[in-house]
Amino acid sequence: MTTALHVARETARRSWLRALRRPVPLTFSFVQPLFWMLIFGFLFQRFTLGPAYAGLSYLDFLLPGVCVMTVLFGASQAGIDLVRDLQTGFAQRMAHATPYPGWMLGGKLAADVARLLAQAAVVAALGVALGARLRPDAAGVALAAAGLAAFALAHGSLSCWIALKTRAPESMAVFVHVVNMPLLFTSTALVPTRQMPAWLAEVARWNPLTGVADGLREALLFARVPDSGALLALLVPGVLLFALARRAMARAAES
Amino acid sequence: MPAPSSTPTEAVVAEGASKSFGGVRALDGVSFALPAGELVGVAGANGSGKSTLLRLLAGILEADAGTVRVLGRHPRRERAALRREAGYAGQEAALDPEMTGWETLRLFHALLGLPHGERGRRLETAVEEHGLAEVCGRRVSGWSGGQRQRLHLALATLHAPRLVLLDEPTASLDPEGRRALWDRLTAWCREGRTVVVSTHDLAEVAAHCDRVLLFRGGRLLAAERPAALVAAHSRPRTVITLARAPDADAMRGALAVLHGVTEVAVRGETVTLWRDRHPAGAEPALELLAARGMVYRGYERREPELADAYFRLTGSAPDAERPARGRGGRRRKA
Repeated sequence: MTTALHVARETARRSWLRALRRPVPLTFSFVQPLFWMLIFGFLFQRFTLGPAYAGLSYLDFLLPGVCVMTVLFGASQAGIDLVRDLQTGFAQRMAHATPYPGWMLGGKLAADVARLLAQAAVVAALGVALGARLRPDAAGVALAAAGLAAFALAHGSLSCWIALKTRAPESMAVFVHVVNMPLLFTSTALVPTRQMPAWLAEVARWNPLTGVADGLREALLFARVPDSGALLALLVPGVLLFALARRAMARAAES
Repeated sequence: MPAPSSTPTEAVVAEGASKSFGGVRALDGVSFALPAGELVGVAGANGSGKSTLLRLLAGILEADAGTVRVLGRHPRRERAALRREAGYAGQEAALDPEMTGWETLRLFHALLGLPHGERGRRLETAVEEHGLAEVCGRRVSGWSGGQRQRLHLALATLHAPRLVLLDEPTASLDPEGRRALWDRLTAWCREGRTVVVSTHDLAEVAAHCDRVLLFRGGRLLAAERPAALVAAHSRPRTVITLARAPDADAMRGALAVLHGVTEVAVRGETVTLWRDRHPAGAEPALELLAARGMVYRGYERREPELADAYFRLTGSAPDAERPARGRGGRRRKA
Protein backbone atom coordinates (compact mmCIF):
# COMPACT_ATOMS: atom_id res chain seq x y z
CA MET A 1 0.00 0.00 0.00
CA THR A 2 2.80 2.41 0.92
CA THR A 3 4.51 1.57 -2.36
CA ALA A 4 1.30 2.23 -4.29
CA LEU A 5 0.92 5.58 -2.54
CA HIS A 6 4.49 6.48 -3.48
CA VAL A 7 3.65 5.68 -7.10
CA ALA A 8 0.57 7.93 -6.96
CA ARG A 9 2.46 10.72 -5.20
CA GLU A 10 5.38 10.75 -7.63
CA THR A 11 3.16 10.67 -10.73
CA ALA A 12 1.08 13.49 -9.21
CA ARG A 13 4.27 15.45 -8.60
CA ARG A 14 5.27 14.92 -12.22
CA SER A 15 1.90 16.23 -13.45
CA TRP A 16 2.28 19.38 -11.38
CA LEU A 17 5.85 19.93 -12.53
CA ARG A 18 4.83 19.60 -16.15
CA ALA A 19 1.91 21.99 -15.72
CA LEU A 20 4.10 24.60 -14.02
CA ARG A 21 6.78 24.27 -16.70
CA ARG A 22 4.38 25.10 -19.49
CA PRO A 23 3.55 28.75 -18.89
CA VAL A 24 1.63 29.21 -22.15
CA PRO A 25 -1.12 26.60 -21.56
CA LEU A 26 -1.26 27.60 -17.88
CA THR A 27 -1.71 31.28 -18.73
CA PHE A 28 -4.22 30.46 -21.44
CA SER A 29 -6.26 28.45 -18.92
CA PHE A 30 -6.86 31.75 -17.08
CA VAL A 31 -7.11 34.01 -20.11
CA GLN A 32 -9.88 31.97 -21.71
CA PRO A 33 -12.28 32.20 -18.71
CA LEU A 34 -11.42 35.87 -18.40
CA PHE A 35 -12.50 36.41 -22.01
CA TRP A 36 -15.70 34.49 -21.38
CA MET A 37 -16.49 36.71 -18.41
CA LEU A 38 -15.57 39.91 -20.24
CA ILE A 39 -17.37 39.09 -23.48
CA PHE A 40 -20.40 37.20 -22.19
CA GLY A 41 -20.62 39.16 -18.94
CA PHE A 42 -20.89 42.49 -20.68
CA LEU A 43 -22.70 41.24 -23.80
CA PHE A 44 -25.53 39.82 -21.73
CA GLN A 45 -25.51 42.33 -18.87
CA ARG A 46 -29.16 43.21 -19.61
CA PHE A 47 -30.14 39.54 -19.80
CA THR A 48 -33.18 38.74 -17.63
CA LEU A 49 -32.30 35.94 -15.26
CA GLY A 50 -35.75 35.49 -13.77
CA PRO A 51 -37.05 35.69 -10.18
CA ALA A 52 -34.78 32.89 -8.89
CA TYR A 53 -31.80 35.18 -9.46
CA ALA A 54 -33.41 38.47 -8.50
CA GLY A 55 -30.91 41.15 -7.56
CA LEU A 56 -28.00 39.43 -9.35
CA SER A 57 -26.18 40.71 -12.43
CA TYR A 58 -25.46 38.37 -15.33
CA LEU A 59 -21.77 38.51 -14.38
CA ASP A 60 -22.66 37.25 -10.87
CA PHE A 61 -24.65 34.42 -12.44
CA LEU A 62 -21.98 33.66 -15.02
CA LEU A 63 -19.01 33.44 -12.66
CA PRO A 64 -19.80 29.97 -11.17
CA GLY A 65 -20.57 28.80 -14.72
CA VAL A 66 -17.16 29.96 -15.93
CA CYS A 67 -15.49 28.23 -12.97
CA VAL A 68 -17.23 25.03 -14.05
CA MET A 69 -16.17 25.63 -17.67
CA THR A 70 -12.58 25.99 -16.55
CA VAL A 71 -12.79 22.55 -15.00
CA LEU A 72 -14.67 21.10 -17.98
CA PHE A 73 -12.08 22.23 -20.54
CA GLY A 74 -9.15 21.52 -18.26
CA ALA A 75 -10.29 17.97 -17.46
CA SER A 76 -10.79 17.19 -21.13
CA GLN A 77 -7.09 17.97 -21.65
CA ALA A 78 -6.03 15.23 -19.21
CA GLY A 79 -5.66 12.73 -22.03
CA ILE A 80 -3.54 15.02 -24.19
CA ASP A 81 -0.54 14.66 -21.86
CA LEU A 82 -1.10 10.94 -21.91
CA VAL A 83 -1.15 10.80 -25.73
CA ARG A 84 2.18 12.62 -25.77
CA ASP A 85 3.61 10.11 -23.29
CA LEU A 86 2.20 7.21 -25.28
CA GLN A 87 3.72 8.51 -28.50
CA THR A 88 7.18 8.84 -26.97
CA GLY A 89 6.83 5.46 -25.24
CA PHE A 90 7.30 7.04 -21.82
CA ALA A 91 3.80 6.05 -20.63
CA GLN A 92 4.40 2.41 -21.58
CA ARG A 93 7.80 2.54 -19.94
CA MET A 94 6.32 3.82 -16.69
CA ALA A 95 3.51 1.29 -16.84
CA HIS A 96 5.98 -1.57 -17.49
CA ALA A 97 8.14 -0.49 -14.58
CA THR A 98 5.47 -0.51 -11.91
CA PRO A 99 3.25 -3.18 -10.45
CA TYR A 100 0.70 -0.38 -9.82
CA PRO A 101 -0.25 1.19 -13.20
CA GLY A 102 -3.70 2.03 -11.80
CA TRP A 103 -2.16 4.09 -9.00
CA MET A 104 -0.02 5.81 -11.59
CA LEU A 105 -3.15 6.96 -13.40
CA GLY A 106 -4.79 7.79 -10.09
CA GLY A 107 -1.85 10.03 -9.14
CA LYS A 108 -1.98 11.85 -12.45
CA LEU A 109 -5.74 12.41 -12.24
CA ALA A 110 -5.55 13.48 -8.58
CA ALA A 111 -2.96 16.11 -9.55
CA ASP A 112 -5.08 17.25 -12.50
CA VAL A 113 -8.21 17.53 -10.35
CA ALA A 114 -6.38 19.48 -7.62
CA ARG A 115 -4.88 21.82 -10.24
CA LEU A 116 -8.28 22.40 -11.86
CA LEU A 117 -9.87 23.25 -8.52
CA ALA A 118 -7.05 25.71 -7.86
CA GLN A 119 -7.56 27.20 -11.33
CA ALA A 120 -11.31 27.51 -10.68
CA ALA A 121 -10.54 29.37 -7.43
CA VAL A 122 -8.25 31.79 -9.30
CA VAL A 123 -10.98 32.32 -11.95
CA ALA A 124 -13.46 33.10 -9.14
CA ALA A 125 -11.03 35.68 -7.76
CA LEU A 126 -10.64 37.19 -11.26
CA GLY A 127 -14.44 37.37 -11.54
CA VAL A 128 -14.65 39.25 -8.26
CA ALA A 129 -11.98 41.63 -9.55
CA LEU A 130 -14.19 42.26 -12.61
CA GLY A 131 -17.13 43.19 -10.40
CA ALA A 132 -18.94 39.94 -9.64
CA ARG A 133 -20.51 39.89 -6.17
CA LEU A 134 -20.30 36.67 -4.16
CA ARG A 135 -21.91 35.58 -0.89
CA PRO A 136 -20.05 32.35 -0.23
CA ASP A 137 -20.75 29.75 2.42
CA ALA A 138 -17.73 27.70 3.55
CA ALA A 139 -19.53 24.37 3.94
CA GLY A 140 -21.47 24.94 0.74
CA VAL A 141 -18.30 25.81 -1.20
CA ALA A 142 -16.57 22.70 0.17
CA LEU A 143 -19.44 20.49 -0.97
CA ALA A 144 -19.68 22.22 -4.35
CA ALA A 145 -15.90 21.80 -4.75
CA ALA A 146 -16.31 18.09 -3.98
CA GLY A 147 -18.94 17.89 -6.73
CA LEU A 148 -16.66 19.78 -9.09
CA ALA A 149 -13.83 17.38 -8.22
CA ALA A 150 -16.05 14.36 -8.89
CA PHE A 151 -17.01 15.83 -12.26
CA ALA A 152 -13.34 16.56 -13.07
CA LEU A 153 -12.44 12.98 -12.14
CA ALA A 154 -15.14 11.59 -14.43
CA HIS A 155 -14.34 13.86 -17.36
CA GLY A 156 -10.57 13.51 -16.92
CA SER A 157 -10.92 9.71 -16.75
CA LEU A 158 -13.00 9.72 -19.93
CA SER A 159 -10.34 11.83 -21.64
CA CYS A 160 -7.60 9.45 -20.47
CA TRP A 161 -9.58 6.42 -21.58
CA ILE A 162 -9.98 7.88 -25.07
CA ALA A 163 -6.26 8.76 -25.12
CA LEU A 164 -5.28 5.23 -24.11
CA LYS A 165 -7.63 3.67 -26.64
CA THR A 166 -6.81 5.86 -29.64
CA ARG A 167 -3.29 7.13 -28.83
CA ALA A 168 -3.92 9.95 -31.33
CA PRO A 169 -3.90 13.70 -30.63
CA GLU A 170 -6.55 14.19 -33.34
CA SER A 171 -9.03 12.12 -31.36
CA MET A 172 -8.46 14.36 -28.35
CA ALA A 173 -9.29 17.44 -30.44
CA VAL A 174 -12.48 15.73 -31.62
CA PHE A 175 -13.32 14.79 -28.03
CA VAL A 176 -12.97 18.41 -26.87
CA HIS A 177 -15.32 19.66 -29.57
CA VAL A 178 -17.81 16.80 -29.71
CA VAL A 179 -18.21 16.30 -25.96
CA ASN A 180 -17.36 19.64 -24.33
CA MET A 181 -19.44 21.95 -26.48
CA PRO A 182 -22.73 20.02 -26.25
CA LEU A 183 -22.14 19.51 -22.51
CA LEU A 184 -21.59 23.23 -22.03
CA PHE A 185 -24.44 24.55 -24.15
CA THR A 186 -27.00 22.09 -22.83
CA SER A 187 -26.22 22.99 -19.23
CA THR A 188 -27.02 25.95 -16.99
CA ALA A 189 -23.41 27.14 -17.02
CA LEU A 190 -24.34 30.15 -19.19
CA VAL A 191 -28.14 30.42 -19.04
CA PRO A 192 -30.72 29.40 -16.40
CA THR A 193 -33.22 26.72 -17.45
CA ARG A 194 -36.02 29.24 -17.26
CA GLN A 195 -34.58 31.03 -20.29
CA MET A 196 -34.22 27.84 -22.33
CA PRO A 197 -36.72 26.22 -24.70
CA ALA A 198 -38.62 23.46 -22.89
CA TRP A 199 -36.78 20.62 -24.63
CA LEU A 200 -33.39 22.14 -23.86
CA ALA A 201 -34.39 22.72 -20.24
CA GLU A 202 -35.24 19.02 -20.02
CA VAL A 203 -31.87 18.05 -21.50
CA ALA A 204 -30.13 20.46 -19.11
CA ARG A 205 -31.88 18.82 -16.15
CA TRP A 206 -30.04 15.54 -16.95
CA ASN A 207 -26.73 17.16 -17.81
CA PRO A 208 -24.18 16.54 -15.02
CA LEU A 209 -22.66 19.96 -15.66
CA THR A 210 -25.97 21.58 -14.64
CA GLY A 211 -25.80 19.98 -11.20
CA VAL A 212 -22.23 21.14 -10.72
CA ALA A 213 -22.92 24.70 -11.95
CA ASP A 214 -26.12 25.07 -9.92
CA GLY A 215 -24.44 23.64 -6.83
CA LEU A 216 -21.61 26.13 -7.10
CA ARG A 217 -24.10 28.98 -7.58
CA GLU A 218 -25.97 27.95 -4.46
CA ALA A 219 -22.74 28.01 -2.48
CA LEU A 220 -21.16 31.14 -3.99
CA LEU A 221 -24.16 33.39 -4.63
CA PHE A 222 -26.73 32.41 -2.00
CA ALA A 223 -24.55 31.19 0.90
CA ARG A 224 -26.46 27.90 0.82
CA VAL A 225 -25.32 24.30 1.07
CA PRO A 226 -26.17 22.60 -2.26
CA ASP A 227 -27.95 19.28 -2.55
CA SER A 228 -25.28 16.83 -1.48
CA GLY A 229 -27.04 13.83 -3.05
CA ALA A 230 -26.96 15.31 -6.55
CA LEU A 231 -23.30 16.29 -6.26
CA LEU A 232 -22.06 13.10 -4.66
CA ALA A 233 -23.99 11.10 -7.27
CA LEU A 234 -21.32 12.37 -9.67
CA LEU A 235 -18.91 10.07 -7.89
CA VAL A 236 -20.63 7.12 -9.56
CA PRO A 237 -19.64 8.05 -13.15
CA GLY A 238 -16.34 9.28 -11.74
CA VAL A 239 -15.51 5.89 -10.25
CA LEU A 240 -16.83 3.95 -13.25
CA LEU A 241 -14.94 6.01 -15.81
CA PHE A 242 -11.79 5.87 -13.69
CA ALA A 243 -12.11 2.07 -13.56
CA LEU A 244 -12.44 2.04 -17.35
CA ALA A 245 -9.35 4.21 -17.81
CA ARG A 246 -7.45 2.18 -15.21
CA ARG A 247 -8.16 -0.98 -17.17
CA ALA A 248 -6.94 0.64 -20.38
CA MET A 249 -3.78 1.73 -18.57
CA ALA A 250 -3.21 -1.82 -17.29
CA ARG A 251 -3.57 -3.04 -20.88
CA ALA A 252 -1.07 -0.44 -22.06
CA ALA A 253 1.34 -1.89 -19.49
CA GLU A 254 0.81 -5.33 -21.02
CA SER A 255 1.40 -4.24 -24.60
CA MET B 1 5.85 -29.53 -25.14
CA PRO B 2 6.88 -29.83 -21.48
CA ALA B 3 8.06 -26.64 -19.81
CA PRO B 4 11.82 -26.45 -19.87
CA SER B 5 13.30 -26.49 -16.44
CA SER B 6 15.87 -23.85 -15.64
CA THR B 7 18.45 -24.57 -13.04
CA PRO B 8 19.97 -21.87 -10.83
CA THR B 9 22.90 -21.82 -13.25
CA GLU B 10 20.68 -21.05 -16.23
CA ALA B 11 19.30 -17.55 -16.43
CA VAL B 12 17.26 -18.12 -19.58
CA VAL B 13 15.95 -21.26 -21.24
CA ALA B 14 13.94 -21.21 -24.47
CA GLU B 15 12.55 -24.23 -26.26
CA GLY B 16 10.90 -23.88 -29.64
CA ALA B 17 9.84 -20.30 -28.90
CA SER B 18 7.96 -18.67 -31.77
CA LYS B 19 6.26 -15.34 -32.19
CA SER B 20 4.36 -13.94 -35.17
CA PHE B 21 2.93 -10.53 -35.92
CA GLY B 22 0.11 -10.88 -38.38
CA GLY B 23 1.53 -13.09 -41.09
CA VAL B 24 5.14 -12.29 -40.26
CA ARG B 25 7.04 -14.81 -38.17
CA ALA B 26 9.41 -12.73 -36.05
CA LEU B 27 10.80 -15.70 -34.10
CA ASP B 28 10.73 -19.20 -35.45
CA GLY B 29 11.19 -22.14 -33.08
CA VAL B 30 14.11 -20.71 -31.14
CA SER B 31 15.83 -22.93 -28.55
CA PHE B 32 18.81 -22.05 -26.36
CA ALA B 33 19.98 -21.86 -22.76
CA LEU B 34 21.98 -19.00 -21.26
CA PRO B 35 24.06 -19.71 -18.17
CA ALA B 36 23.76 -17.18 -15.35
CA GLY B 37 26.50 -14.58 -15.06
CA GLU B 38 27.30 -14.42 -18.78
CA LEU B 39 27.43 -11.44 -21.07
CA VAL B 40 25.42 -12.51 -24.11
CA GLY B 41 25.35 -10.66 -27.43
CA VAL B 42 22.33 -10.99 -29.71
CA ALA B 43 23.25 -10.23 -33.32
CA GLY B 44 21.49 -10.26 -36.64
CA ALA B 45 20.22 -7.97 -39.38
CA ASN B 46 17.34 -5.56 -38.83
CA GLY B 47 14.13 -7.55 -38.52
CA SER B 48 15.93 -10.78 -37.66
CA GLY B 49 14.09 -11.16 -34.35
CA LYS B 50 16.51 -9.63 -31.82
CA SER B 51 14.08 -7.11 -30.34
CA THR B 52 11.24 -9.61 -30.32
CA LEU B 53 13.40 -12.04 -28.35
CA LEU B 54 14.28 -9.39 -25.76
CA ARG B 55 10.65 -8.31 -25.42
CA LEU B 56 9.69 -11.95 -24.98
CA LEU B 57 12.27 -12.39 -22.22
CA ALA B 58 11.10 -9.17 -20.53
CA GLY B 59 7.52 -10.45 -20.49
CA ILE B 60 6.26 -7.64 -22.71
CA LEU B 61 5.28 -10.18 -25.38
CA GLU B 62 4.17 -13.77 -25.02
CA ALA B 63 5.40 -16.59 -27.26
CA ASP B 64 2.77 -18.03 -29.61
CA ALA B 65 4.39 -21.43 -29.36
CA GLY B 66 7.15 -23.08 -27.36
CA THR B 67 8.23 -22.16 -23.87
CA VAL B 68 10.48 -19.61 -22.27
CA ARG B 69 11.74 -19.52 -18.67
CA VAL B 70 13.56 -16.48 -17.35
CA LEU B 71 15.25 -16.79 -13.96
CA GLY B 72 13.10 -19.87 -13.48
CA ARG B 73 9.87 -17.97 -14.14
CA HIS B 74 7.31 -17.71 -16.91
CA PRO B 75 8.09 -14.19 -18.10
CA ARG B 76 4.50 -13.27 -18.90
CA ARG B 77 2.50 -15.01 -16.20
CA GLU B 78 4.99 -14.21 -13.44
CA ARG B 79 5.76 -10.78 -14.73
CA ALA B 80 5.26 -9.00 -11.42
CA ALA B 81 7.88 -11.17 -9.73
CA LEU B 82 10.21 -11.02 -12.71
CA ARG B 83 9.98 -7.22 -12.80
CA ARG B 84 11.87 -7.13 -9.50
CA GLU B 85 14.68 -9.32 -10.84
CA ALA B 86 15.02 -8.24 -14.46
CA GLY B 87 15.59 -4.86 -16.07
CA TYR B 88 14.73 -4.10 -19.69
CA ALA B 89 15.78 -1.12 -21.78
CA GLY B 90 14.11 -0.94 -25.20
CA GLN B 91 15.63 0.36 -28.40
CA GLU B 92 14.23 3.87 -28.00
CA ALA B 93 15.39 5.91 -25.01
CA ALA B 94 11.82 6.77 -23.99
CA LEU B 95 12.27 9.72 -21.64
CA ASP B 96 10.31 12.83 -20.71
CA PRO B 97 12.29 15.77 -22.13
CA GLU B 98 10.65 18.20 -19.71
CA MET B 99 11.92 16.41 -16.61
CA THR B 100 15.40 16.62 -15.17
CA GLY B 101 17.52 13.52 -14.69
CA TRP B 102 17.00 13.58 -10.93
CA GLU B 103 13.24 13.89 -11.31
CA THR B 104 13.15 11.00 -13.77
CA LEU B 105 15.23 8.78 -11.50
CA ARG B 106 13.11 9.72 -8.49
CA LEU B 107 9.92 8.89 -10.41
CA PHE B 108 11.23 5.48 -11.46
CA HIS B 109 12.50 4.77 -7.96
CA ALA B 110 8.88 5.03 -6.82
CA LEU B 111 7.45 3.17 -9.83
CA LEU B 112 9.81 0.25 -9.25
CA GLY B 113 8.61 0.05 -5.65
CA LEU B 114 12.08 0.50 -4.15
CA PRO B 115 12.38 1.28 -0.41
CA HIS B 116 11.79 4.98 0.17
CA GLY B 117 14.43 5.19 2.88
CA GLU B 118 17.30 4.36 0.57
CA ARG B 119 16.24 6.58 -2.30
CA GLY B 120 18.98 9.19 -1.88
CA ARG B 121 21.79 6.66 -1.73
CA ARG B 122 20.47 4.60 -4.63
CA LEU B 123 19.98 7.61 -6.88
CA GLU B 124 23.43 8.98 -6.06
CA THR B 125 24.96 5.60 -6.90
CA ALA B 126 23.09 5.38 -10.22
CA VAL B 127 24.10 8.92 -11.21
CA GLU B 128 27.72 8.24 -10.35
CA GLU B 129 27.81 4.83 -12.02
CA HIS B 130 26.38 6.18 -15.29
CA GLY B 131 28.40 9.40 -15.30
CA LEU B 132 25.39 11.71 -15.17
CA ALA B 133 26.36 13.96 -12.27
CA GLU B 134 27.07 17.02 -14.43
CA VAL B 135 23.78 17.00 -16.32
CA CYS B 136 21.38 15.34 -13.90
CA GLY B 137 19.96 18.62 -12.60
CA ARG B 138 19.14 19.82 -16.12
CA ARG B 139 16.11 18.96 -18.21
CA VAL B 140 16.58 15.96 -20.48
CA SER B 141 15.62 18.04 -23.55
CA GLY B 142 19.06 19.65 -23.42
CA TRP B 143 21.01 16.39 -23.13
CA SER B 144 23.05 14.70 -25.84
CA GLY B 145 21.98 11.38 -27.33
CA GLY B 146 24.66 9.57 -25.34
CA GLN B 147 23.60 11.16 -22.06
CA ARG B 148 19.99 10.17 -22.71
CA GLN B 149 21.11 6.64 -23.47
CA ARG B 150 22.94 6.50 -20.15
CA LEU B 151 19.86 7.70 -18.26
CA HIS B 152 17.80 5.15 -20.20
CA LEU B 153 20.15 2.44 -18.95
CA ALA B 154 20.22 3.85 -15.40
CA LEU B 155 16.41 3.62 -15.22
CA ALA B 156 16.42 0.01 -16.43
CA THR B 157 18.96 -1.03 -13.81
CA LEU B 158 18.02 1.22 -10.88
CA HIS B 159 16.76 -1.80 -8.94
CA ALA B 160 20.02 -3.73 -9.50
CA PRO B 161 18.37 -6.59 -11.41
CA ARG B 162 19.92 -10.06 -11.70
CA LEU B 163 19.14 -10.09 -15.41
CA VAL B 164 19.66 -7.06 -17.66
CA LEU B 165 18.07 -7.02 -21.13
CA LEU B 166 19.30 -4.25 -23.41
CA ASP B 167 18.12 -3.62 -26.95
CA GLU B 168 20.87 -1.91 -28.97
CA PRO B 169 22.19 0.21 -26.11
CA THR B 170 25.29 1.33 -28.02
CA ALA B 171 23.36 2.80 -30.96
CA SER B 172 23.74 6.47 -30.00
CA LEU B 173 26.99 6.30 -28.06
CA ASP B 174 30.35 7.71 -29.13
CA PRO B 175 33.43 5.41 -28.98
CA GLU B 176 34.23 6.47 -25.41
CA GLY B 177 30.65 5.92 -24.34
CA ARG B 178 30.61 2.49 -25.97
CA ARG B 179 33.78 1.46 -24.23
CA ALA B 180 32.43 2.68 -20.89
CA LEU B 181 29.19 0.80 -21.48
CA TRP B 182 30.91 -2.49 -22.33
CA ASP B 183 33.17 -2.05 -19.29
CA ARG B 184 30.08 -1.58 -17.13
CA LEU B 185 28.32 -4.60 -18.61
CA THR B 186 31.43 -6.73 -18.06
CA ALA B 187 31.65 -5.53 -14.46
CA TRP B 188 28.00 -6.42 -13.87
CA CYS B 189 28.64 -9.94 -15.12
CA ARG B 190 31.62 -10.25 -12.77
CA GLU B 191 29.16 -9.41 -9.97
CA GLY B 192 27.10 -12.41 -11.07
CA ARG B 193 24.46 -10.64 -13.13
CA THR B 194 23.42 -11.94 -16.54
CA VAL B 195 23.39 -9.38 -19.35
CA VAL B 196 21.72 -9.96 -22.71
CA VAL B 197 22.45 -7.21 -25.20
CA SER B 198 21.43 -6.87 -28.84
CA THR B 199 23.80 -5.06 -31.16
CA HIS B 200 24.96 -4.77 -34.75
CA ASP B 201 28.59 -4.38 -33.76
CA LEU B 202 30.09 -7.83 -34.10
CA ALA B 203 33.61 -6.69 -33.25
CA GLU B 204 32.33 -5.53 -29.86
CA VAL B 205 30.46 -8.79 -29.38
CA ALA B 206 33.64 -10.74 -30.15
CA ALA B 207 35.67 -8.57 -27.79
CA HIS B 208 33.31 -8.53 -24.81
CA CYS B 209 30.65 -11.25 -24.93
CA ASP B 210 30.86 -14.73 -23.44
CA ARG B 211 28.28 -16.01 -25.88
CA VAL B 212 26.59 -14.84 -29.04
CA LEU B 213 23.13 -15.63 -30.38
CA LEU B 214 23.07 -15.15 -34.15
CA PHE B 215 19.69 -14.62 -35.81
CA ARG B 216 18.49 -14.51 -39.35
CA GLY B 217 14.84 -14.15 -40.38
CA GLY B 218 13.63 -15.10 -36.92
CA ARG B 219 15.73 -18.25 -36.80
CA LEU B 220 18.60 -18.86 -34.41
CA LEU B 221 21.66 -19.77 -36.47
CA ALA B 222 24.11 -20.17 -33.62
CA ALA B 223 24.36 -19.91 -29.85
CA GLU B 224 28.09 -20.25 -29.26
CA ARG B 225 31.08 -18.63 -27.72
CA PRO B 226 32.35 -16.03 -30.23
CA ALA B 227 35.78 -17.66 -30.41
CA ALA B 228 34.23 -21.04 -31.23
CA LEU B 229 32.09 -19.46 -33.92
CA VAL B 230 35.09 -17.69 -35.44
CA ALA B 231 37.17 -20.88 -35.36
CA ALA B 232 34.43 -22.87 -37.04
CA HIS B 233 33.27 -20.40 -39.67
CA SER B 234 35.96 -17.85 -40.39
CA ARG B 235 39.44 -18.06 -41.89
CA PRO B 236 42.22 -15.58 -42.58
CA ARG B 237 41.59 -13.60 -45.75
CA THR B 238 43.39 -11.17 -47.99
CA VAL B 239 41.44 -8.34 -49.55
CA ILE B 240 42.97 -6.73 -52.66
CA THR B 241 41.58 -3.59 -54.23
CA LEU B 242 42.35 -3.32 -57.95
CA ALA B 243 42.56 -0.13 -59.99
CA ARG B 244 39.75 -1.39 -62.23
CA ALA B 245 37.26 -4.24 -62.15
CA PRO B 246 38.69 -7.43 -63.66
CA ASP B 247 36.96 -10.18 -65.60
CA ALA B 248 35.51 -11.91 -62.53
CA ASP B 249 35.51 -15.49 -63.83
CA ALA B 250 39.02 -15.28 -65.25
CA MET B 251 40.31 -13.70 -62.05
CA ARG B 252 38.70 -16.33 -59.85
CA GLY B 253 40.15 -19.11 -61.97
CA ALA B 254 43.63 -17.60 -61.93
CA LEU B 255 43.79 -16.98 -58.18
CA ALA B 256 42.18 -20.26 -57.14
CA VAL B 257 45.26 -22.22 -58.16
CA LEU B 258 47.56 -20.33 -55.78
CA HIS B 259 48.95 -22.46 -53.00
CA GLY B 260 46.85 -22.41 -49.80
CA VAL B 261 43.91 -20.51 -51.32
CA THR B 262 40.64 -22.19 -50.39
CA GLU B 263 38.17 -19.67 -51.79
CA VAL B 264 38.16 -16.64 -54.04
CA ALA B 265 35.51 -13.98 -54.41
CA VAL B 266 35.49 -11.09 -56.88
CA ARG B 267 33.13 -8.20 -56.51
CA GLY B 268 33.72 -5.10 -58.58
CA GLU B 269 37.29 -4.00 -57.95
CA THR B 270 37.60 -6.03 -54.75
CA VAL B 271 39.18 -9.48 -54.73
CA THR B 272 39.08 -11.62 -51.57
CA LEU B 273 41.17 -14.75 -50.99
CA TRP B 274 40.56 -17.14 -48.10
CA ARG B 275 43.29 -19.39 -46.72
CA ASP B 276 43.74 -21.57 -43.67
CA ARG B 277 46.67 -19.34 -42.74
CA HIS B 278 48.34 -16.30 -44.21
CA PRO B 279 51.45 -17.10 -46.27
CA ALA B 280 54.79 -15.93 -44.91
CA GLY B 281 56.41 -13.05 -46.76
CA ALA B 282 55.05 -11.27 -49.80
CA GLU B 283 51.53 -11.91 -51.03
CA PRO B 284 51.81 -14.34 -53.98
CA ALA B 285 48.58 -13.06 -55.48
CA LEU B 286 50.20 -9.67 -56.11
CA GLU B 287 52.91 -11.26 -58.25
CA LEU B 288 50.28 -13.06 -60.27
CA LEU B 289 48.33 -9.86 -60.77
CA ALA B 290 51.46 -7.99 -61.83
CA ALA B 291 52.27 -10.77 -64.31
CA ARG B 292 48.84 -10.25 -65.83
CA GLY B 293 49.31 -6.50 -66.02
CA MET B 294 46.77 -5.76 -63.31
CA VAL B 295 47.37 -2.70 -61.12
CA TYR B 296 46.26 -2.84 -57.50
CA ARG B 297 45.54 0.12 -55.24
CA GLY B 298 46.06 -1.69 -51.98
CA TYR B 299 45.74 -4.93 -50.10
CA GLU B 300 45.02 -5.95 -46.54
CA ARG B 301 45.39 -9.18 -44.59
CA ARG B 302 42.60 -9.84 -42.15
CA GLU B 303 42.52 -12.33 -39.32
CA PRO B 304 39.47 -14.55 -38.73
CA GLU B 305 36.67 -12.48 -37.23
CA LEU B 306 33.10 -12.78 -36.07
CA ALA B 307 31.77 -10.57 -38.86
CA ASP B 308 33.15 -13.02 -41.43
CA ALA B 309 31.63 -15.96 -39.55
CA TYR B 310 28.33 -14.08 -39.38
CA PHE B 311 28.27 -13.39 -43.11
CA ARG B 312 29.07 -17.02 -43.87
CA LEU B 313 26.40 -18.32 -41.51
CA THR B 314 23.77 -15.94 -42.78
CA GLY B 315 24.85 -16.37 -46.39
CA SER B 316 24.94 -12.61 -46.83
CA ALA B 317 28.66 -11.97 -47.28
CA PRO B 318 29.02 -8.76 -49.28
CA ASP B 319 32.61 -9.49 -50.32
CA ALA B 320 32.18 -13.26 -50.55
CA GLU B 321 29.67 -13.23 -53.33
CA ARG B 322 29.89 -16.33 -55.49
CA PRO B 323 33.04 -17.69 -53.82
CA ALA B 324 35.05 -20.14 -55.94
CA ARG B 325 36.68 -23.13 -54.27
CA GLY B 326 40.47 -22.94 -54.72
CA ARG B 327 42.37 -25.85 -56.13
CA GLY B 328 45.39 -25.28 -53.95
CA GLY B 329 43.67 -25.22 -50.59
CA ARG B 330 42.82 -27.93 -48.19
CA ARG B 331 42.22 -30.40 -50.95
CA ARG B 332 45.81 -30.02 -52.11
CA LYS B 333 47.00 -30.63 -48.57
CA ALA B 334 44.76 -33.62 -48.29
